[in-house]
Amino acid sequence: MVIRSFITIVFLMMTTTLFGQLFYIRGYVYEANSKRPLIGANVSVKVMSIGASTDSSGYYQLEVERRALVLTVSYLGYQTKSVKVIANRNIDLDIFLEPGSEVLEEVLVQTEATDHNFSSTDLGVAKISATFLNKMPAFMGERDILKSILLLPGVSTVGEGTTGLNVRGGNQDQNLILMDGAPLFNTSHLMGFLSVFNSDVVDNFTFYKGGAPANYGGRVSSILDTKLKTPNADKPRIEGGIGLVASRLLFESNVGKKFSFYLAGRLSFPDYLFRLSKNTNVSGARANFYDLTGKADYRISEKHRLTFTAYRSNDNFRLAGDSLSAVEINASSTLFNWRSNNQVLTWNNLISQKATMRVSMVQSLYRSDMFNKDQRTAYDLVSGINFRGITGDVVLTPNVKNSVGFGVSVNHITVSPGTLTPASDISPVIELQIAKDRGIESALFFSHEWMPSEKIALTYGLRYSSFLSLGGKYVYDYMPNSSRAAANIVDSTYFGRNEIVTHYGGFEPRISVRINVTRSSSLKVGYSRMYQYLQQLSNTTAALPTDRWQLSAPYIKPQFADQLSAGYFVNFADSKYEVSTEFYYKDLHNATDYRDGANLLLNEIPETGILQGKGRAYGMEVFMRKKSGILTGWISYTNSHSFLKIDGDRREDRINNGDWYASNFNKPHTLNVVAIFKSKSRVTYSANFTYSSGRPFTVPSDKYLVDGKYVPNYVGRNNEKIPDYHRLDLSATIDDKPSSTKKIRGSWVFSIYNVYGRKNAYSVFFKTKNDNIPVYAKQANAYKLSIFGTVFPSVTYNFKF
Amino acid sequence: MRSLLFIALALFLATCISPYDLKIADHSPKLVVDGVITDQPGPHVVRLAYSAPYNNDPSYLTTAIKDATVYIEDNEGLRTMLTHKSLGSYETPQSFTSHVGKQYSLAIVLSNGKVYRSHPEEMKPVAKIDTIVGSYRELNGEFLRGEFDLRVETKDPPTPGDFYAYRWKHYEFKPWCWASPPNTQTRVVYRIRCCEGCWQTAECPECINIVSDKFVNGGSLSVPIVTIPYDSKDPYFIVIEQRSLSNAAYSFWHEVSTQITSSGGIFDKPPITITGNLYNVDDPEEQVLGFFGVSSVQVKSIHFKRDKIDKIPYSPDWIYQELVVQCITCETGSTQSTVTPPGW
Repeated sequence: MVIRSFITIVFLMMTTTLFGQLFYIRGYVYEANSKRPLIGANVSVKVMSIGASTDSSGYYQLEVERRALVLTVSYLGYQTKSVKVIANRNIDLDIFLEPGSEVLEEVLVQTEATDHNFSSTDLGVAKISATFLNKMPAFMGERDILKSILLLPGVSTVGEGTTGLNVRGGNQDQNLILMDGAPLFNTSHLMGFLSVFNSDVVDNFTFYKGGAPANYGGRVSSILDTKLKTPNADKPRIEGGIGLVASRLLFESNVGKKFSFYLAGRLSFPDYLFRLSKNTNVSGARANFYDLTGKADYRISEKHRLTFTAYRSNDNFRLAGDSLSAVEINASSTLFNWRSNNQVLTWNNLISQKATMRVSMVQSLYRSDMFNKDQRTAYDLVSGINFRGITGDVVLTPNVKNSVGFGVSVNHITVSPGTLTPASDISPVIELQIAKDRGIESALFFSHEWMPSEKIALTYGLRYSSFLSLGGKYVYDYMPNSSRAAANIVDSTYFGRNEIVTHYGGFEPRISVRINVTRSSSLKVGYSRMYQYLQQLSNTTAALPTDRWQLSAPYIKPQFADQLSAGYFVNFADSKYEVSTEFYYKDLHNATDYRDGANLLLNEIPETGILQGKGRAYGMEVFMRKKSGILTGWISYTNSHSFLKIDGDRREDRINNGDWYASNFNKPHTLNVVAIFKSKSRVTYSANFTYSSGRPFTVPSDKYLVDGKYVPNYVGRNNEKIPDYHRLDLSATIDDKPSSTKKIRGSWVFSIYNVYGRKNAYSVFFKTKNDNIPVYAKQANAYKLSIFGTVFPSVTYNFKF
Repeated sequence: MRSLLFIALALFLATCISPYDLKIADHSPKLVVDGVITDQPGPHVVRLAYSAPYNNDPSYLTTAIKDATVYIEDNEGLRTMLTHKSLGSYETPQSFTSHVGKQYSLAIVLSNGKVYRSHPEEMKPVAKIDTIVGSYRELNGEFLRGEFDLRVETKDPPTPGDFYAYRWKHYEFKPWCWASPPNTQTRVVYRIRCCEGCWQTAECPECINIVSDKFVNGGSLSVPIVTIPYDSKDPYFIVIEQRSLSNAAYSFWHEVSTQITSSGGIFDKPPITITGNLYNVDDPEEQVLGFFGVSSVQVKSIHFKRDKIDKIPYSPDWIYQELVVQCITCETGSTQSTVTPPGW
């Protein structure tokens, strides 16, 4: 991110004295053999505690006072280089780093300046590099970005085995998850057990829980911007891993000096695990996936550079049993398939040392399929999203105290809510195509990072987003003073394919201010507004890969959130320790929940199934991190609350009688402890412990008998909570000897998930016994369902040659 | 079965369900209406009761409403009073008949003066059952070597919005009304004949089998009804009812079915408030539970042949001996009947 690295540069200057004559030291950091620029390399001056990281073209810039100094340049997997410089003029200095196998742990963890915690204007932002990720305990032997994010403060999930994150009391669909700029509409493999990010190719990620810079938008809760590694080869190389559940392979090579690429794949076929079970419903289940991630980098000249990222994945999941009473067709088994297919082409142009421009073209396609293969009722139900967009931005850095970015983005989105077709000659299923939802989402944005004095820095920006809902479908009129139900439709209007049905839009101000309290602590305050025009409709507790996406439409207003946050940030012991405390309050407008009994799948009039109201979330996050030494890690504690209020005019338009109720993922207390221990030996040990209070669920108030069946009567929503969750994971990574001269370098990862085998609850549900035996009828008949109720050990072998 | 779904999600075969102790706060009793009238001969029954606390015995002895005034009104204003028989059961008179195409609504006046009504329900026609077919599936069970999946095939009319509900009852002629406990040494079982024609019956009162033509309108429906065992080469006699449902009734039963088969899994919907078709005339905000349904019924029975299978069904090698001392009376109950079933 061009803007981000400039922010870093600007605010790293904070501790520098701003008096006296200042000079630039600037230039590129290159890989010594290939002359390939290194992105995110760390350039620092230890004695002045200033530093910078190189941007996407490998460029860095520091401003220093007149003196002799030592510039230290480090990059993961390369030998750290120190250069003596006499700063008595502006200096252009390119640095070449040699690959090296033995790297100091301290350098690995440190991808940003040591004082970034308190000196930047970042509020609710987490940045984590792949190197750090690789030392965290693995689940099923696999590293996973999304699993690691769950250990950060302010992030939770509905339960194990589900996909999606809940950030600061937001829904799963309120997170914009980007892979090199392409939005992803499903981030899970194997129903949430792994994420779509292949840890072999992830370079770093930046996670904004609020107060994202103005160039980001489209979701109200969070932005996860994942950057893949830039291809980096001067000769072909292969890397991979073999695990119980998934295996990986990466091939990287170059063509000449200007072009390099890689292709990384993962394949998983854990079916054999199912077959071990004696339970026919488990042994009848199937799950497998593959994904391919490729990236190519073409350095046209010093100033121009093209990168192309492509991602493709395919997941299959088969359930025994008629999973789809939702489709209202009987089936003995259902096969789910979902596929993502993304491409991003980016042109970086270094206009001058003070101006960069970037243009990205993005395509992201998502398809989900449900099949029933029973001859007599065979069907195929396909739904999907086509997202195509273009974004251009310019960043100007006239001097170290100012950085200005502005740009424009236009996205065309088509949602195919569902097409049902018969899948055999004798199937009576009729063909049904729900009208496509189409719209254009566009935005203009501007942001300015400004440091008026040494004590104060601020980042402010403004984004104007607009959404045009396009036609090609009917829009219905409802009887006045009645709820939106199919029965209350009085008229309909057809809008042609290119007619504008409705328009929404709004300004999204963003501001974040940092005020230094002492030399190593600061206070930060921020406000942001974010709009969201695309949401997922779900009436299960956790979102499913088959859940329907919905664009804003005449009766479905865009959601928008106002978030206020404040925090205190402090570093101790030469920045070895970082502590931060953040508070936030979020108001969500047009929050969406489903109407009781609504069917959202294959519903031709989706507005009849959903209700909109208000949401609010507030909380406190404490984060303590030890960044260097033999023992590193963090402790995070979150206290958060999230509520919704859907209060319509009529009883059927209300949820919980129109009163505030806890959202499905309201878990007030969350504690995470991550510890990584690495001494001089080849073994790295890591442990993480996580605790969270149980999520809410609904208990019946009474029960009644109809047609011989006892039915529980639920009046409220989410009025109780399931038992608390806690779990400990351990892992050990054994690397090859650094001095090893073997052609193949390998490492073993041993990990144990849920060490003490706690049967954590996924849900609590009710079953009334229908056998009319009073002894059962007298019991509450509540049951707890655990999904991973056991210890799960795993082993993975990783190799490189 | 929905309840099995989450199991499939347990990649690590570790999913488990355990009872969970929970205290549920007090509730306020709500009126429960449970009744259906059909175009078949009556009497038809409407039951009135109050809902019971979730963890208490909802016995009709304590919750039944015995002193209400209950009547059915059709769209021509014809009113039929129901009379209280026992424990909150109100019955239509013998003279009452209902007809396809007419609308009926239920009215209830409680002794405290509160008046409740149902929204008018139309009796929709229902298609005839074309055939009952079965497909054989081999099993490797110790005793059961195979089973048949029985399905009803029906032609759905071209009108959209047809909804169906299914019920079944199995009858088996029962010559023996008493048998001695089997002696595993001698393998001899003594039996005594029934004094009259006696049928053993089986049905599934807790099953909800409803179908919508939403995605198959005008096509031929093939609805799974029940799985029957291959435990004999003799025909299996079963009576199947196909009923029409209104859209509101279908939604109601669909929700009830979702609710009572939920097992808290990832694919299960969280519970919701089910709304029936009854309301308090003076206070529409009051929650009234249950449903007043109106259905047209088609019945078909079959002696399903089980003799085409090569494999021989399992049969225990007992030696049967008749005790001709006397006969035993066939007691009518929930699993036994002396009435010759229709279509036998």
